Amino acid sequence: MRRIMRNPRADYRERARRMGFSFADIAGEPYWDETACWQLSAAEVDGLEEATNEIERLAREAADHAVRNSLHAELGIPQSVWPLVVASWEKQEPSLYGRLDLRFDGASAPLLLEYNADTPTALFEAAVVQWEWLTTVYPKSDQFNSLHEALIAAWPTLKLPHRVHFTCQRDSEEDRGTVDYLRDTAIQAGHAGEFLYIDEIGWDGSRFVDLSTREISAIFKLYPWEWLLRDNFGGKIAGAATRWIEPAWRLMLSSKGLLALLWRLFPDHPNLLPAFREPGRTGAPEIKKPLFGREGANMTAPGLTTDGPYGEEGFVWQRFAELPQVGGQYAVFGSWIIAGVAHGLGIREDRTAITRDSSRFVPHFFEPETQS
Amino acid sequence: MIRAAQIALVVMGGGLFMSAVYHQHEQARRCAEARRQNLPDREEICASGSSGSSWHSHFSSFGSASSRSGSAPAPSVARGGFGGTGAHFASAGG
Repeated sequence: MRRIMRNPRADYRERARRMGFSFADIAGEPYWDETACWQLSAAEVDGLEEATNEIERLAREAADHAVRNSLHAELGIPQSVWPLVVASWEKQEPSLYGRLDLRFDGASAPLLLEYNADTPTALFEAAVVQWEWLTTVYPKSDQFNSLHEALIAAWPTLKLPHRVHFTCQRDSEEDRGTVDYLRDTAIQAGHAGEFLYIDEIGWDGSRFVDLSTREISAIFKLYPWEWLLRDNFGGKIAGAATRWIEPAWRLMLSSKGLLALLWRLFPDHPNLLPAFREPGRTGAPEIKKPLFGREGANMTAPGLTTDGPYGEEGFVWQRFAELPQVGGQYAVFGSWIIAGVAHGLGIREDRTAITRDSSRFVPHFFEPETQS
Repeated sequence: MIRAAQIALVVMGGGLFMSAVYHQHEQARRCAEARRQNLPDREEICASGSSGSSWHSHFSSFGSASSRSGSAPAPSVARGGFGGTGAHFASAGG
């Protein structure tokens, strides 16, 4: 694989606007960055796809193991909410989407850095914006990206009622854009999709209701479970009939305690890095990550510390595998999973070794293997 | 502690009613306080919550008013119970 520098299309901002990509720039800085792109080989894409499906299999096995052995403490999940997580797992409530963040250098096996299993973003740009880029910049090439089609196909498999609500908090254009995109895919799948902000959700004494006092039977929330459960209405979730997407069992996978659990269950697996709930056990330099942190906050790596509000639930220490640095940029490979299956790739770059909310999205393409 | 978000005030039929959410919370607080102080009528205070008397008295008056008007009583709706934790963070995405 290689990183290619190229001139951005003169009208890329106008194209972004027409697609409804309202956060191509974030806080005045470019977020969508087509001054560079990544070229992969078909074999490398196959390797990423295979590793993603394998890690998904391991993660679900680990979740089942956690349920069977009540490992809520290892995952940093309070005992009081564990029954909700267990019930969700026992019912096998379907998952819509997730994103693995992988270290990949094209030479060795992809390594799991973390699993964004609850509220991953960077989906619209991976599914739609970089595909539009491909069709105009490399129209004869291909892209590891069947995200849009997979999302539309996934909604019916969730077996939800016709009306599905969508929610996120206010004041984040990126969150709202992601939710609106997912709502669009649900509508294309035949659902009635209705949006309301998270603080607008009502409780009528026995049910969660929307602004028209209709029952919220199913809701996609871009709002993590650990926040939902801490909120004032959190205690009402278990007694209500509402279906939540992602389901509560995803809390097990979104905890970075999963990294330590995976390593304990599958030591020396080629797609895993050594990780423990205590420091100093990996036998190498380590990165310290909060169990329920987001966007690279509150991490400590050799020579690098990020600040932020997370960490009260505890930490995990993972062997530090520095991201490959090319052109002065560190790239992390975000491998998307839709309904349990690998379906696409989004690459983000940063000038530091930790990917943060300010890291830029860079498109990719690959040349399909020629038929002989 | 009773948070503002838990006190849902709804205007119905010209009257102002606190929601069940608030009353259940308030009743639990009163019961706990009565037991902590070992008040002679502590069990009556706690039982009044389980029978729903304080909440029920509000609902009864609302129900009567509704009956007179001939319309079905609408349940009170509390809002703002989600989002409090997230308000401290810029984005919920990862």
